[in-house]
Amino acid sequence: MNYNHYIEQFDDFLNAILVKELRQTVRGKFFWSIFLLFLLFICLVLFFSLNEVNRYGGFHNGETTASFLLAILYFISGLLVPINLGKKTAAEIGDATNELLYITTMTPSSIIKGKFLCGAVIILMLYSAIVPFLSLTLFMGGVDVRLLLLVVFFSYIFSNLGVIFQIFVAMSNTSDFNDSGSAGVVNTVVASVIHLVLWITSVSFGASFMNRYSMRDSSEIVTLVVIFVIVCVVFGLLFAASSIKLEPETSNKMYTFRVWASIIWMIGTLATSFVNFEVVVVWSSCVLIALILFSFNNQTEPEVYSNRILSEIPDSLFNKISKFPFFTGVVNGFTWNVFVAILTLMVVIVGDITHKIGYHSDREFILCVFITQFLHANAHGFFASFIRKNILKASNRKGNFNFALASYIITGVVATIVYNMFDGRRNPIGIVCGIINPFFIFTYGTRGEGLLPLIAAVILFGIAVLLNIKSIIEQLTSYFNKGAED
Amino acid sequence: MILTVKHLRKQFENCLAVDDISFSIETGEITGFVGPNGAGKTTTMRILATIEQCTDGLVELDGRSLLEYPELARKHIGYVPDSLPSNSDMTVHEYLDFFARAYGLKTPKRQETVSQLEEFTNLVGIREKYIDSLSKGMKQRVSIARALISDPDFILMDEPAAGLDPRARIELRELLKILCEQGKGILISSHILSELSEICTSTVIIERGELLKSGKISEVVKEVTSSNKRVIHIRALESSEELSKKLILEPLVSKISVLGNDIEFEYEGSDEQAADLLSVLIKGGFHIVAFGFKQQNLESVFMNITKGDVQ
Repeated sequence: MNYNHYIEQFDDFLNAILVKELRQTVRGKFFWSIFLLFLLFICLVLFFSLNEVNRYGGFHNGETTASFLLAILYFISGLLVPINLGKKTAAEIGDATNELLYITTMTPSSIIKGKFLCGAVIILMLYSAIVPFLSLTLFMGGVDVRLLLLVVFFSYIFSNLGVIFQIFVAMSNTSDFNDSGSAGVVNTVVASVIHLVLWITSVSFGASFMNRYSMRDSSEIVTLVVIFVIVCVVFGLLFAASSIKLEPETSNKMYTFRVWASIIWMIGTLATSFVNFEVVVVWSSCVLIALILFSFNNQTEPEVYSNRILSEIPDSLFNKISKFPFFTGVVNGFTWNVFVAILTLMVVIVGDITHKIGYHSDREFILCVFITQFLHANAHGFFASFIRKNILKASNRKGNFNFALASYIITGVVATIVYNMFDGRRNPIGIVCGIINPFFIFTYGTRGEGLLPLIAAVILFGIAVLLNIKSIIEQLTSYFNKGAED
Repeated sequence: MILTVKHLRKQFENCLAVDDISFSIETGEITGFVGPNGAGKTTTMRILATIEQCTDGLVELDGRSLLEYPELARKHIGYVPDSLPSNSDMTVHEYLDFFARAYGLKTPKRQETVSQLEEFTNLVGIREKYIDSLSKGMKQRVSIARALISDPDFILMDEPAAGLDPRARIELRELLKILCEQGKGILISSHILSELSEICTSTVIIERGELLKSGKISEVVKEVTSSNKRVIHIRALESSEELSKKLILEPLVSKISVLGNDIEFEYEGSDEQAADLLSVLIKGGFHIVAFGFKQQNLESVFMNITKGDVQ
């Protein structure tokens, strides 16, 4: 029987970028150094574990050994591999290596799929490599197989989420931070720092989960399923947002994305409202993180509509208003963000008041965190747009994402340090640092003390909007006058 | 098919790279895109290839805007950049196969296309070599082969002859002629004007982002020649020093250059006036061996109308 036909069909089915990237990866130094380092760590862990067995004359340290092995695995697959892939992708965009690829007939989603699959396959190879060693821990005793498999599964899912996150940030890279270079470095550093923070958060979340859950209760399984769904939703949003970056700048590229994101958001919010407080917190945190990233991303959208977008604006006023938040444009994106933020908060408040979800004693703090972060992120976005356009005279709006993201993180870190150095509640320097700090609310305190950070965020946001008011009004006028001009 | 550029503008931070240029290129024609360094040729080509966005203007493919719908260009326009982007750890064959996949070609069509292009661009012998190890000329062939994978109607070539040895240049010229015969429209930028003169049917001349001339080479040459001074070349038997002193006194003569017995000068007069000048010189006792207008080509037109300014 001739299998060539099937092999050819499979070959055609493979994503072009996946084939290319895997070829390059297995020829590169990074992959082999990581793989050897990985095996070395595993051997060391097993050596010490077996040594313990010899010393105490029994098998009882399987759980500890498995934890160490998983920590090594997750360190490499969840941190090093995604960061390296993001760095490589950002560099390719920065030095224009891939620009010839972007003018082929390949769709943006195929390009992102290829990039992602490359990371996913490498991670899968690492997971395959660790299976024999993890199996060995079963003979050492003390290992809950069900829990072990769950941790392996979720760490794999989170590693893949890390890959798509890195690709998303890398896709925001430009060769011109202020039209004079350095974007790639900033992009990589910022993306790595955020990734590290998210990685540590996921590790601590995973550790607390393993301590608290026995996996014998059906509600625990529901929680896990919901978390899995949330991860899939966030993954889908990041994937779509990355693909959109490669769509033609003149197209109404955000429209479909915003429509789908709204549907997913609505289903997600309603579904999580009926589970428990933990899931609501995870969901609203995910929504907040997404909204923060979208606040920066909005500023990469056009301030002036292309003829292609103008031709898609509906004629009737009702349609114009109802479709406005979904269209591609700075003001449209901002409106959509505000819309989603308000509705999310309403669901949280209503759920909390009716005692269906959450501990209402935390409501004020959650609301304050959500609102201050949202306002700060949008303020940084608008500031980035204003500074790059009017002071740095940069023409490429794509760089606004990097600029806003970097300023948001840097302001947060520096202001927190200075705030603590000068005792922010008494010293004027500390107070100023608090006001400009996106993370002021965490620094300032929790219950009942959130009003000052909130006022500070409102003031900053107001200034940022005022600076951009001319272009905001122009875009609004252009959108709503379109039918009249025709 | 016709690719039309209308009032194209591209503003960078502190520099107007392309300033209101308009021209068109057709399939089955080779158009030379000429201009000094920094004239805006690469920027224009990158806009046409939809890699770069313009600040203002229109680019249309058979009347449909490529700026608004850049995805339309993907099948119809192939782009050969001035240098092949870095592709470490990839052989020539893998590189072409990758782009064939990216253009959605399925087996066996993909293998067939890649093999044909390797043969057409003379890459068969080096198909297993890594791209980074290739010479400039070989990389240029790879780049052309890549641009041809989708069988585009237009090919934009940015300085394809730069850094090539004489043999590679001749081979490139032959390749372009074949592509033109296949009905492809080619826009080629080059500094080697003598070569462009030989293969191009049309030309677009720009300087400092502004369009100076565009059209069929013969028409551009005619236009420039009729509106400007022509160059007359004279060879005399005796030293040209005396002859040049005589010519300085002539009202229609300017920019005299002497090299041994040869003399060249710009002449702003009709054919009849040139004949009168010759008879004046002969009557003046000069022994003229050769007297005639120097043939105008793309090179002389270029030198005539550009100032060599860069931005």
